[in-house]
Order: sequence, then structure tokens, then C-alpha cells
Amino acid sequence: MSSSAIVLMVCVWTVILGGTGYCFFKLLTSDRQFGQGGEDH
Amino acid sequence: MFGAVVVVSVRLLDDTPKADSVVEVDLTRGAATRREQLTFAGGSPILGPPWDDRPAAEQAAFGVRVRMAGNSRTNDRGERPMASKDRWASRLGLVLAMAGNAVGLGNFLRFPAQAVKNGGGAFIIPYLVALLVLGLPLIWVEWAMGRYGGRYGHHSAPGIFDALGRRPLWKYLGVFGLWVNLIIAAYYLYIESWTLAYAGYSAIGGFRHTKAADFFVRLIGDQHDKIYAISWLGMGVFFLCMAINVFILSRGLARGIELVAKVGMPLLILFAAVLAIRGLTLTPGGPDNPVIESPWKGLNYLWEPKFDSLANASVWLAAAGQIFFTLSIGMGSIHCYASYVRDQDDIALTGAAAAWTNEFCEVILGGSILVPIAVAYLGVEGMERTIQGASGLDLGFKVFPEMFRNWGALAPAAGCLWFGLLFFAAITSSLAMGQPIMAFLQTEFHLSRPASALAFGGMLLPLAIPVAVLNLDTFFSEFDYWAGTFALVVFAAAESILFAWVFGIDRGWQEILRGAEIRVPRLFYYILRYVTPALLLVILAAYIFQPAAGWDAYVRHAHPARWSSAPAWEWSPDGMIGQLLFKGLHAKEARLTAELASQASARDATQRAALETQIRLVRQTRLVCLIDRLVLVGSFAFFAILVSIAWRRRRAEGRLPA
Repeated sequence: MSSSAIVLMVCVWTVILGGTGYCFFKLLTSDRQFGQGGEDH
Repeated sequence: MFGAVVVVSVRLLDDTPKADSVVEVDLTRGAATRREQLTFAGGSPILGPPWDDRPAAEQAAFGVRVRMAGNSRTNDRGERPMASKDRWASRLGLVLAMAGNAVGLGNFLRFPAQAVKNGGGAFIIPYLVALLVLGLPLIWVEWAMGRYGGRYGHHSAPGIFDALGRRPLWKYLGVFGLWVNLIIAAYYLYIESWTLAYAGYSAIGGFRHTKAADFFVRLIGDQHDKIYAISWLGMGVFFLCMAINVFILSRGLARGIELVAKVGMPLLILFAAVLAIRGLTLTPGGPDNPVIESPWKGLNYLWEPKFDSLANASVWLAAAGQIFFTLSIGMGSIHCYASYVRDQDDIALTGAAAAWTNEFCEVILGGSILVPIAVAYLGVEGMERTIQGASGLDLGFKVFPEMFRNWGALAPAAGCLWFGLLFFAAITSSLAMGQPIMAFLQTEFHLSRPASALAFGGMLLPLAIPVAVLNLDTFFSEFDYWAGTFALVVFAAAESILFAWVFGIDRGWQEILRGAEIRVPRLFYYILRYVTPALLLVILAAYIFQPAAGWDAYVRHAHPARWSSAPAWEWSPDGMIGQLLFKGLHAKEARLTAELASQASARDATQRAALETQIRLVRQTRLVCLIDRLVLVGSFAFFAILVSIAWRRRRAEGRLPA
């Protein structure tokens, strides 16, 4: 692979893995349970 | 009897009285007393249930405006909040169901094909920009709209649009959110059935003896020179697939859709990871080795940035289009799923998690399978030839099983993995197409879940049969263009304007932030307000008026001095107007007619007869497409009439203020 292709791929993969990882980390470590907002209506 | 209800005391809980001050009210009715925390509005306390069931005249006599308190106030249409019976069982289940809705065949077939066609690595740049200014904002818009609509008992786009808008027209624009799902499901389920048939045929080792292209023809019954394409095998698997979908939908959100997503999504990711690793470890060399190139060359081809294509407007349009398809935006399915989220539950983080999961499946997994494996066996030029149509269907269904044959004993397993992952990707998406229609029937016509699932199947059948018995250039292609491409942009443009400019961006922004577990950057407020609606209108115009020479030809000549040298205007067969005027079919007929004329004196009667058959087929295709368009208009009108009846029933039942 050319260096420009590697740089682009690594950058994009980092952004996507970072975004996915961050969201799932926040989801799985969240204190709030689903529906904890209480009786909605 | 109303006189029996007495406000005993009103205690202000805020420091200073204002429009939304909270008050504690003691109420008595006969011997019963009740204490409620309510809010002021216009100087009168707003009372919650069960006091809000009183007719307006009685409320006025009592001196109060009876409304729900706090964040459960009536909406602009005067509707009261309603609790939903159906709920998601877990947050992870919701994320997986939403991600499953987004992750579809396009992630593994269309994305790599589009990237190859539009400049390889350079395509990724507009793609990511489109994700930032279109994808993520619209995901949040659709989640916020869905949760807001769900609060008032709406679980499908017409009701949700009506709850946000102030005019009756909006609910008819919301009809797109039902119609699009039904039309797309009619052909999407057909492709889903192919994946099921291919997975089964791979499992029994069928591709050892049968060429994949031959199996494809057998499955769809295509006869090249005939308008009809009947295959009993294909129809059987198609109806089996429909039955599976209807059955899962009839089991409900938690026990049906969520369960399938919880099983299907991890398996899909596992299958894709195994295939990607196996594909990238193929090595060329040796006289009998069918691998002619390193798969990394394919990866390089996909990621090598060709920056000159960034100046091409068509590439930006293609990137925006891919973001639409991949995130399932503009369909009404996200609204529907989000409408079952509770009022104070987070949507910002959950929505972002589903969107990023889709990107992971598309760019990282999807980008590492199709192109690298195809380049390994076909070389770069061979891959480019096969991927020509930019849908990836030919490569995925006709060529991949041939490549897997080289994997020896692993071939059946590889086929199962590939078509299994496509099947899971497809079914999690097709379920999301059925749910909005079912939710509409359940909410508006009080149908039970199994009855509404059967009704969905019943609506699907008259549309699915022509898809299955006519060749792919007719109903299949027309449905894909009008519902699966054009209508998505219309719907998304309408919802972004409704959210930012009718409902109001400030209220909309508060909806997105309500219960948010991540900080949504303020930048998105401005993107939502200005950039997304403007961009969608530009994309819509570009789709409608697309010229045959491409927009670049005119962008390059935009200067008055160069305008005269711009190419003559002609509609593109891919644009909305070109499609409407059958530009592609007319051009094909003209080409075939010219070819026939040039052979008028030739003696080869067989060749002339073949050309005449082709010309006849083009004319038949045009005629069938006209019928198809009547079907499309008729099905839209059918849903519009259902919505009209539903709203009349709502008024009659007192669910909507007269």
C-alpha cells in the first residue's frame, strides 16, 4: 500500500473506531438505566 | 358533577410566579383528595389526569385550563401525552436494533462499489463531511422527532409530522414515511431472499457444481429477451422470507425485532471479521494459485486518495447519497423505533452509537471484504469491470461464490459466512421497514400486533409479486429509484425544514438535549438550522435536474465568459426528470434501432431478429414502467386516504381537538 493510502486509512479508521468505542464506553458505563427517566406520562 | 372537584389549596413552588411555574395543588372530589404538582399557564393551574378528562366547557367553568404538567404538556395540535404499551427491553438492544436498521446490504455491496467508482480514498473525504453535516444531524433530528411523537402516542411518520407541524399538510408529507417503507420492502425482501437462497445453497456445497451466475439466473428466472422472469425457486424463497419477517414482526419489539438484532448483529460482525481476515491473508504466487494479486492492492485501490475527484460535484453527490442509504435516513423507520423511547431517556448518545456502529460495519468491515478479495482473484481491472454498475450486486452474487470455490473445503463455510452476513444485514433492515406500517395500523386502527403484521404482509404481496415475476429492469429498478433513492431525499428535506423552521430549532435543540448523556457540540445547532436544510434542498435540486453531461461540465463553465462553450443541456437518465421521461430506455431504443438499420441489408437474419426482440423488450419495459408508476401513485394515495380516515377517527374518538 502507498503511504498516502495508509495515512488516510489509519486516520479514518481511528476516527470511526474512536467514535464507536467512545459511544459504547459511555453506554456501557452509564449509571442511568434504560427507562430510568421515570413514568414518562 | 364537575362542581364536586374543588381546589383546596395552591402553593407556589417557584420563587416568583411565571408562565411555567410549578404549583402544588390539593384537589378534592367528594371524599377523595389528591395532591398534584402542576404548572401555571396564563395564570391558571394546569391539571393533570384524571382531571384532564373533563370537556373544555367544564374546565372553563371550573376556572382552570386542564393540561398535563411539566414536560408532558399538550403539543401544538392540542394532543395529550399517551403512554405506549410497546417498549424496548434494553438500551443495548435498542442500539443494536437501530444499528441493524442502518446496517444493510449497502454497507457490504454498495459502499465499496461507490468508493471504487468515485475516486477511491478521495470518496471517503466527502463521505465523512456528509456524515458530519447530513448524517449525524439527521440521525438526531429523526430520533428527537420520533421520541417527541411517541410522547403523544404517534409511532409513524404521519402522526409524528402532525405533532410537530401546525398544519394538516404535514401529516400527508409524513405519508412518505409509510409508503417508502412498503415500496422498498417489496424489492429489498427480494434481495434478502437471494441471500437466504445463496446461504442455503452454499451450505449444501451447491456451488461446487453450479456456476454462481447460472444459479442467479435460476433464482430470478431471467430470460434476457422476455419481460417476465418467473422462477418457482426464487418465488418460494421470497415468500418464505416474507413469512419470516411477518412472524418476527408479530412477536413485538422486545421479543421480535430486538431479539433478532441482539443475535444478528454480533453474528454479522463476527462473520464479516472472519471473511476480512481470511481475505486479507490471501497470497499470490505459484503456478496453480488462483490468487493473482495481493488483496492489499485492493485495499490500496480503495484508500489511495485521488484528490482531483474532490473537485467533481458528482462525487460529493454520490457521497451524500451513500450516507442517506447507509444510515436509513429519510425512511421514517428511525422515527418509529425512537418513538418507543421514554421521555427522559437519552437519544443523543444512543443515536450516535447506532450511527458509529453503522460506520464501523460499512467503512472498516465493508471496505475490507469485497474489493480486496475481488482484486486478489480478478486483478484491479477485472474488479473494476465487475463492479461497473456501482451497486456491487453482480460482484456479491455472481462472482464471489466462484472465488470461494478456490478455498477448497472452506468454500461452503465461506459462502455461508458471506451470504449469512448479508442475510442478517438485510433482515434487521427489512424488519425496520415493516414496523412503521404496523405501528400506524395499531395506533390508528387499533389492530392487534399479529393482525397488523399480517396486514403488512397483505399490503406487501401485490407489490412483491410483480417484483418477483417481471425482469429486474421494471418494477425492481423503478421501486429502487423512486422510493429507494428519490423519495428519501424528499422526505429528509421535508423533515429537516419541519424540525428546524416549523417546530423551531430552539425547541428542537432542547428535544435533542433532553436526557442527553453526551455533550452535543453547539456547532450542530447551526448545522441543523442552516446547513442541513440548505444542503438537502441543493441535493434535491441536483437529483431532479441532473444533466447528462454531469454538473461538473456546467460548474466548470459557470463564468459568463465560458458559458457559451458549456455543453448543450440534456437530461441525464439517472436524474429525476430524465428518469421520468425514460431517457435511458429511449437512448437504448435509438441505439438498437440504428444498429438494426445499419444491418438492414445484412443477411444475418438471426442477428436482426435478436435486435428486433431487444427493441420490443425495451418498448415493453417502458409500458410496464408506466404501469409501475401508476402503482406507485396509487399506493401513495392509498396511504394518504388511510391517514385521512385515521385523523377523522381521532377527532371522533376525542383523541384530537376538533
